[in-house]
Amino acid sequence: MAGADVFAMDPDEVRKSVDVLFEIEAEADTQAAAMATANAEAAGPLKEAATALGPALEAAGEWWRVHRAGGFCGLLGNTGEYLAACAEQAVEIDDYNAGTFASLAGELYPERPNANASSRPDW
Amino acid sequence: MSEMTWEHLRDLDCGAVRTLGESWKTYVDQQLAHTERLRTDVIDGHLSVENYESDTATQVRDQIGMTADRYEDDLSDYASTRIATTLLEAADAFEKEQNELKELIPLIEQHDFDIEGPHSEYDVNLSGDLHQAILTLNPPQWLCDMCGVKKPDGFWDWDTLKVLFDSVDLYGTAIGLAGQYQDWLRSVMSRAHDADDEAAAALSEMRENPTELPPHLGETYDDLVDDYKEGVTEEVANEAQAIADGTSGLSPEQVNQWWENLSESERQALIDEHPEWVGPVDGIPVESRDTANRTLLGNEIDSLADRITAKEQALQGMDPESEEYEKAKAELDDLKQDRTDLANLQDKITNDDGTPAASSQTGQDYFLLGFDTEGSGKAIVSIGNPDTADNVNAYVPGTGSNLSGASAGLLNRADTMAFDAQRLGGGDETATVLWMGYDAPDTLIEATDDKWANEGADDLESFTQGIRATAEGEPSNFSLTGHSYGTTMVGTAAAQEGVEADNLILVASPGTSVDTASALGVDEERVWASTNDEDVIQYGPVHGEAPVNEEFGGNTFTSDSPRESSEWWKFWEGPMENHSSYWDQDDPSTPANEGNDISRDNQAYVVTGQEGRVR
Repeated sequence: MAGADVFAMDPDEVRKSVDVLFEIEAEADTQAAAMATANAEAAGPLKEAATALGPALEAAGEWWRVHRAGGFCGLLGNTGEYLAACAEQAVEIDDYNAGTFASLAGELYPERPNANASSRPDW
Repeated sequence: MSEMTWEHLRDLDCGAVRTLGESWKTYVDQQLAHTERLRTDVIDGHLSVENYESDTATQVRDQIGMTADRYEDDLSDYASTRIATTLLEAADAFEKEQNELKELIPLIEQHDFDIEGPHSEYDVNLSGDLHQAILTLNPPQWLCDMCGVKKPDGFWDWDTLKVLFDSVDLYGTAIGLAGQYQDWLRSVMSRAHDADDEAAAALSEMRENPTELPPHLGETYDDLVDDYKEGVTEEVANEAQAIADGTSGLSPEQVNQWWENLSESERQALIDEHPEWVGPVDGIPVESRDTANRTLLGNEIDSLADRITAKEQALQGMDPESEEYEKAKAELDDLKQDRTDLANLQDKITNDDGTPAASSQTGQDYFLLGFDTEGSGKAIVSIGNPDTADNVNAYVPGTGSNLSGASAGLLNRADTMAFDAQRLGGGDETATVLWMGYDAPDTLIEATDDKWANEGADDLESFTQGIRATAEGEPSNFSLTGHSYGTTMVGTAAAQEGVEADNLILVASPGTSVDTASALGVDEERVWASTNDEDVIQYGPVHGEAPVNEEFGGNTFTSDSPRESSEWWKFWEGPMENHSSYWDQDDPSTPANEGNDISRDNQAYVVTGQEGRVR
């Protein structure tokens, strides 16, 4: 991570950023899941009708949920967790990894599953 | 691969597919609210420089910005262009063919025919009951009506005997009608399968080469983020190349959405740096394609000159008596012909000062939409801009069409069509396109083969979809005018792939690959055919029922046969000559604007939406 020649932080405002990031992450995840479900439901009759579209549609919905919307949510979660750790410590964190947040999450964000963080390669 | 049966298609809930497509559009808007919130509430709000200032804070803001940018691109490229548009296009395509089935299946059932065979190639045959009815001299009323015999009343009277005498005709009529329904059904299912496979490909290709996501913040971030940013700069080029190579799976409508979502600078960079990815692509607006294709044309002429020089030098070192020399000489001659043809085309569509030239007949600018020297050569040239025209007429020429004609006879004929549309169009703008986008047969013998039409069908379908995709404002009244084998090309594309045209004009047709206008996927009332009395083609309908025949079920219009044999005893010249007389001025002493050229007038009336004036 970059160094810190100038440093000024309002931790409360940064925490509000974290809240927004986590909020969007949750909403986008739920909404993507709903679309994937809708795709799978629509794909059923199309598959029964022996279309090529049916299987492709189901796969597309799941791919979108996991890889693209899921990627977006993962990025928001990661950035939010990083900012949460920064705000909590009120310092720059040069060697951040998911474990940094996880060590704080229990008190700060008990609803966030650490399993999510621990699955990352930098854990 | 689509294995949908006609029963599946009949019962498919197209509304559900469309509703899902619309849900994806709504979803995209919903998600864009998230990225908007990231920018306003986070980057410019809680996490603004007033609240958090440091090098890392800048980096985090950049990271959130990159995340939002990526998601917006994903929403545009994948959720909207790929998924939503694919669903909406598939719903429309399925529904169109489903409506054809709703008309066709009751007809098949009413006439006591059976549908048999695999979904890939249905047969429509006479049912056992219908066979029995004919054999027992008790044919159904509809068959008696078609054959002009009175239905027997059960006694051995004159009517019964007449049925007996006409039984061959009855069978022939029934089999002929079944054949028409078979063509119709096969065409419907061919187009439905095509739409299904294309939709599936668009979704599957999406998952094959997805763009990278920004890296996560963490220890490896600095190493990864530069690679990510570098990758982003290459994304547009990669997408453009995949589209031009035909590996993207995008329809012309989807290509158009992709193009419109690029920035002006991205579009210009593609035109300037990679015209080969812009010029030939259906779905990119005509003006951009024209600019790119003119660059490509100049480059190709220069390249041919270099290759000719190299080949000439190589020839100097060869034995003139050797086979190697003969082969190289033939290649040299081909290169020279290609250069001449392309240079002539360039001269035709370009002014002396290098600016685009206009048609001398209509004053409309020429637009170059494609060219190729492979095979007989290909060229797609428009007189007037199809994107802004009220009417578009694409002329598909036939046997013997080649690159030489693209700057001479064929384009002159298109110019004549453009002139007629302007002359009779009542002020409407008509763009007339010479679509020589297929490798046409070189000889009459080759023209008995349908492979040329089969090979070009996909490209003609794509061209018509591109015309629709890039149109500005209301959709144009769009006609495809085929001449000779060009009608086989038009018919094959219409029946197998589907074409986005309002009118099909079939001039001097040797057959369209199907026996009924109903199989062409456009309103039968908007299928027009004409063959003049002298035209030799009337003696050789080798690609199915001649579309001028009543049994075909389309409309016809009158064409004169103004050409004559050079000598009274050269009886074969008139029929041959009148195969190509449809754009002649019947009476050269009469000004062309006085409406004496009946075939040309009739074509122009259809092209300009004045079918009521057709004679």
